[in-house]
Amino acid sequence: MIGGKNRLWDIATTALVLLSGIFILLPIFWVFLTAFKSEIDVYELSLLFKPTLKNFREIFSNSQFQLGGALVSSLIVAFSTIAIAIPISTIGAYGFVRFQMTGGRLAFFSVLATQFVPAVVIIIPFFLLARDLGMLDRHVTLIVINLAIVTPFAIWMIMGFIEGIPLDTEESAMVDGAGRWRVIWDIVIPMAAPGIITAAIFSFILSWNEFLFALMISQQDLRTWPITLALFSDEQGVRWEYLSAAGVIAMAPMFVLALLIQKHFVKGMTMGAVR
Amino acid sequence: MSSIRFDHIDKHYGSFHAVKDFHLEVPEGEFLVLLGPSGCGKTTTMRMVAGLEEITGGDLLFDDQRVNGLLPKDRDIAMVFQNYGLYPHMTIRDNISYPLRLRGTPMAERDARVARAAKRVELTELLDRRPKALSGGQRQRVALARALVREPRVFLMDEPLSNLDAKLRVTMRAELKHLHHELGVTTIYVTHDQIEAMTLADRVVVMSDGEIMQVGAPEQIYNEPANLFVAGFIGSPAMNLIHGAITDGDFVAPGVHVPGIATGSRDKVVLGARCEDLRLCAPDNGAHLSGPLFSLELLGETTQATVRLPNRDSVVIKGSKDYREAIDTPIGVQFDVGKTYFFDGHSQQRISP
Repeated sequence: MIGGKNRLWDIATTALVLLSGIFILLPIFWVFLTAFKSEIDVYELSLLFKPTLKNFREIFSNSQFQLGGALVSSLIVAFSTIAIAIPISTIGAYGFVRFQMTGGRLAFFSVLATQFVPAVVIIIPFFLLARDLGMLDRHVTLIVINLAIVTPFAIWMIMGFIEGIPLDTEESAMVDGAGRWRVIWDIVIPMAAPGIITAAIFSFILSWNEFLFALMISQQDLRTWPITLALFSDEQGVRWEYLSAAGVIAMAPMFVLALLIQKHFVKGMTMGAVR
Repeated sequence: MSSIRFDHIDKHYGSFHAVKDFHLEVPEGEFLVLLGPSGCGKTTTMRMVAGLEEITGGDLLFDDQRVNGLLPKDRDIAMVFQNYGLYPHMTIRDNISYPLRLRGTPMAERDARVARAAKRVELTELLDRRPKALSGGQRQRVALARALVREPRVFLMDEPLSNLDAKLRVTMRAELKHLHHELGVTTIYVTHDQIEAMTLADRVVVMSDGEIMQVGAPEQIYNEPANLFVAGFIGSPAMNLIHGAITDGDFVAPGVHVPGIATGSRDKVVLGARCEDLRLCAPDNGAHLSGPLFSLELLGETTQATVRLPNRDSVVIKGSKDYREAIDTPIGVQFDVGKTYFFDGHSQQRISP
């Protein structure tokens, strides 16, 4: 009887998982299909069509879209953001975990509290600041803004991992002859690597997908990929096949990253979740 | 190898006084054991030697050179931690060679020394594994090898055997003793296990509440306890302590009467006697103490009888292995008067012999 009950439960949960999977993946699948459809097939619901690479050729060759430049901009912004955010966050997280300082907790919560402010609330001050400093339309401005978004989150994530490193291990290294920086490099970073990698992936995703702030400060030169996606409407209306092709390219680095570091990612997510 | 001098060392955590006026000379090559119950300040004292804990007051000297402000890395010490403190992401070889790598020892010499240290603690076959794949005893030996791989001025060991099972602990204890004999490096060893302290130490420092209770060779600590704390802490079972008074030269407590052991009278006196110095007898006139048998424990080579006195003091007597008596049977105990100790009930200090 109990066996039957369990079986029923298994079937129910499996069905639920499948259903949520379909719910999440179907739009992505549809975007993927549309990217290879010709203009006439776009509005057809049929899965049978003649696939074509024309959309990809078109979006890159059409100078109106400036996709090459957008891709470079997005890569520059995303990689610069993690290149700066991750070392800073690692050191910051170590400081918050290992040093007892007056106001340390307050400082940490202030850093974390910046995450509770909705982006639309600070978009005007950011815009005015960038305008008055003459920093509109520059990569560095977007990188700085992204850092403000990404760093608190990365600090919080990495902290969970550093807290998991036994103090004995660090002290042992100090007695063995390592100074503080050497301890961080030899012991803390390797042991917190799953957390640091997870934080790096999240930071990359956040800055790669960031739309609102990029839109606000971009004028001519600074055009990231998500902004360019918004430009695929012309006098003929929204060009879904172009939009989908560009969307597939936007998703590609995510898939590659996910595949490469799946193992760390799962470990990072679950370990972070326990804390 | 270095001598160590603790010059009136104090440690405060806020208003908490963790170590109080610790003053001691440790000559070169000595095996010194800090012994005491948990929270007595022994680990804090050791961590101050390592440089992992700041010294609040007093001076710490290695070979007459003040080291208070030196970072752990500059003190040239090796330490074995209670939880071993191994580096889980490195192989055993890298774990052991880490101190040498930090000192820029050339590769060839490093390999040779790692091989030598590993051989000494029988780890040669495990060098390419990671700590995760090792048993507790093996991890303990890795920690030891990492300490041995260079020749430090001082060895520090913080309860290194406490995570091992009973059998392995006995084996490792012997190995540590032999190792110290071979290397002769000044060693400070922290433990709450008095057997470890008695077997390993050249000298034992008994601590309580951040204060030194007594310093001495193991047999001295055992045979001449300076105060009630040491008498009650050292020995298994601990020394029997009976609270009473001296009246006209006789020690008197409820159920106890030991005639002619002193002169005069004195209130609040504690009589101490080790269980092996007591003899079971019939509860007649010859007995110094009489009462009902509270419990009888067979230990194999001996039997341990316990009598509980009306004032709740327990007296444990070591009897022959064939001694059998039913619980609650009235029994008598004779003291070996030459092997009894008297402590002042007020000051807790020993007054005689």
